[in-house]
Amino acid sequence: MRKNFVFFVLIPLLIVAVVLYFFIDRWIEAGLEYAGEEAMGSLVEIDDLSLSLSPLGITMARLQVANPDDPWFNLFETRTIRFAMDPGQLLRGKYIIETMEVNDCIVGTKRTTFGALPGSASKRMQAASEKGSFTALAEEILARSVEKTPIFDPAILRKGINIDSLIKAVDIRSISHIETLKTRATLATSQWKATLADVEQTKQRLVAMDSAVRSINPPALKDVASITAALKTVDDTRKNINEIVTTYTTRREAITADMQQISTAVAAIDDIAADDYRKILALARLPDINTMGIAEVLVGKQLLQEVKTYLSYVDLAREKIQNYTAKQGMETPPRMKGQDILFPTDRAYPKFWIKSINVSGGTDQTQNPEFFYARGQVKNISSDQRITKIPLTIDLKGSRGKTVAASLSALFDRTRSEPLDEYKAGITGVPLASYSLGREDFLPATIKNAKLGTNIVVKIPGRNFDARAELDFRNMDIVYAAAPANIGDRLAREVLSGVSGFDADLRLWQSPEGFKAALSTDLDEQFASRVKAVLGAELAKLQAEIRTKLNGFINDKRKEFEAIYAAKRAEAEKRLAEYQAIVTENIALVDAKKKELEERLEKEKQSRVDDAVKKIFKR
Amino acid sequence: MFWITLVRDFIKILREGQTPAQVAGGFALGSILGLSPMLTLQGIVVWLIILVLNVNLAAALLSLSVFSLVAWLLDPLFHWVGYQVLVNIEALQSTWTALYNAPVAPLTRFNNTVVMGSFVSALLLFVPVYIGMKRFVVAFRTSVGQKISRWKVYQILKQSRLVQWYEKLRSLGG
Repeated sequence: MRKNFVFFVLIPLLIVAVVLYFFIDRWIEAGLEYAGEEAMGSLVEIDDLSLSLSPLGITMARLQVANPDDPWFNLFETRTIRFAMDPGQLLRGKYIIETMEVNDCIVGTKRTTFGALPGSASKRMQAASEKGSFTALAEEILARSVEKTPIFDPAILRKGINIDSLIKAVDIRSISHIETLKTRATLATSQWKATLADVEQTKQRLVAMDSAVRSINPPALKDVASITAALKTVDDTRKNINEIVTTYTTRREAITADMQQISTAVAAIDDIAADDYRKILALARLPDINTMGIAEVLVGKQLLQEVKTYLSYVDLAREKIQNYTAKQGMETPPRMKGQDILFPTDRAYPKFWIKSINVSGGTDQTQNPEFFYARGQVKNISSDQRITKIPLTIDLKGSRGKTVAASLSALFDRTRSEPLDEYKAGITGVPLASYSLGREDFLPATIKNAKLGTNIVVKIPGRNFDARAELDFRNMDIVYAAAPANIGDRLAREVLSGVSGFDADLRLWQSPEGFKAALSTDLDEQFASRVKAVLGAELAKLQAEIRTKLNGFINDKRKEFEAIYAAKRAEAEKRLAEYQAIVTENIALVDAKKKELEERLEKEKQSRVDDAVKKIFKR
Repeated sequence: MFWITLVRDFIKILREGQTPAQVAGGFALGSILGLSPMLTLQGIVVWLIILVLNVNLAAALLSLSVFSLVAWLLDPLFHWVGYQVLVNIEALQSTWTALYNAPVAPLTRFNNTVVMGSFVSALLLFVPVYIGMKRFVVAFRTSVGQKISRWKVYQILKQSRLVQWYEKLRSLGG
């Protein structure tokens, strides 16, 4: 027996094997928990992890991931998780999992311990509400939508509104626009003055040229030489006039362009004034009957609150699912190490790839006896979609009892330079024990015992966003929290009393002007016509008063501007026209004189030829 | 000690023995090894070339040492050159992608910025180094060598007991 081999190789190997056998499960568990916490920013706990060598795989009895936004609840919790890894790829440092079984995944379970990591909660909250995140945009919309409810009370309407103070309170853009126009017109007219002074100088030259050309009397010219000299003078004059015309045309075009720009800006005053009018109406809280949106007062607040919650998941997906990088940035590696540039590969594997997860689970049965159960597949979770060339997809179908059915499909595509996220969700027959309607100051109510159906389609290519949601409330009973506070409230109740359900559509989208939201219901038209019938006269009177006052205010300023501008414009146009007439006259005179001289020259040449012929024949 | 002997051998070779082309060839090939990181497929190929061709080995080893120092100094430049070649030349992208997918090419570590930058630089310098060294050997043998042999440093190096002792040891090893 080789003693050295036993002491120095075999025994240490055995010790290492024993240590590994007892501790490797704990090490892997700790490693996975650490990696999960790094990724999620909250506590990740794994229970009873065990490693099997053939086939190479891991089983864990339970996995809990705390919600980073609410650490007393789990984002999700699972029972048994089982998966096998590709040992060949593991040797290359790559974690490739063909199929993972996740059983009884329960969303939103209560935790017995606080699930935040020290110092991480505030960081995540900050990330979610960063400017530019979808959550922040939803917050902005929400803030806009919960502005004051319109006044429907005829008593207040009849009492009248202090329009002067309203006009003072609003930043009237049309006034500042007119002031800018005034400054612009003053500047432009002083430039025109200088330009016209230059034109005036050339006018003297034109007069001089005119008299020089007029002084040429073709019949008085007796020989070819003098006619040719006169013709040359006329040609030179024409050239000079052409130069003057070119310079004049450039100057006239500059002045005309100024005039056109100012005219366009003047025409915009009406549009800006219309905007100002709408702003004053909003400040006065007068409902705009034509675009009456019952949807906004009925379900706007609650719906947008929910949207905000969902958008935080969209932000989370954007943050966590790694993006395609078209070009690797230049790093500063340690000396003599260099940077490895990665190219797309045909047979390569990413660092981490779960090809398929069969998942089942739902909401917490202990918290809610109406347990929601879903089952489905999550495919192609990978650390680099550029390598797998397959986007991450989620396909889940769920149900609660016999009445509620739901589906969710999502796609997170990071294979191209622009990330694309798509979500489609649908749910039908959701019994609504309670769904709040209206606002505190308008139609405070609750929908009871209704059935809700929802279809949501969200597309997020790059930083663009387009989401549509259709909600249909059926079999609903409305319980009002208080007696009608005003006539608008009463009218809305009248509209709602005859219906047992309504459809609401919500669209949120990114437009060039910013993030926009539009809400409508199939009750809008009815509500608008009722408001029009009851309050139309008072509203119309008040609106007309506001419009008259505002128009008066704007018109005064407009007149001031026109007083400065119109006279100067007319003067400039007059002088340009005069000059144009002189130029045209000069050109006509020169062209006529040239023609006359050419004819005279031709005649003179002909007579010379005739004389010469006569002389020849005389001889 | 090894390096002292190497320098002395090299000076001896400069004066007599192998042809200027053999010395210059060894030196130029050694420069490729010196400039590029060694544990690559192309490094092994260059070694094979040095061993197969009848170039001067002492010149190759000396060049390897000298250019390794140069490579250390120029590392940021090589990283920059490599990055430009690998990332910013669009026309080469398909070639790099094909090589990246080829079974043996990754052994060259061509996708590393320093490997690519230093190898490109070494290839560009190969001909100038070869021609320069060849001219230097010729010049050395005709005039410079005489002057150097009169330098005190060379005399000390030649008379050094340490060197003589090392040479004896080396000769014992066959």
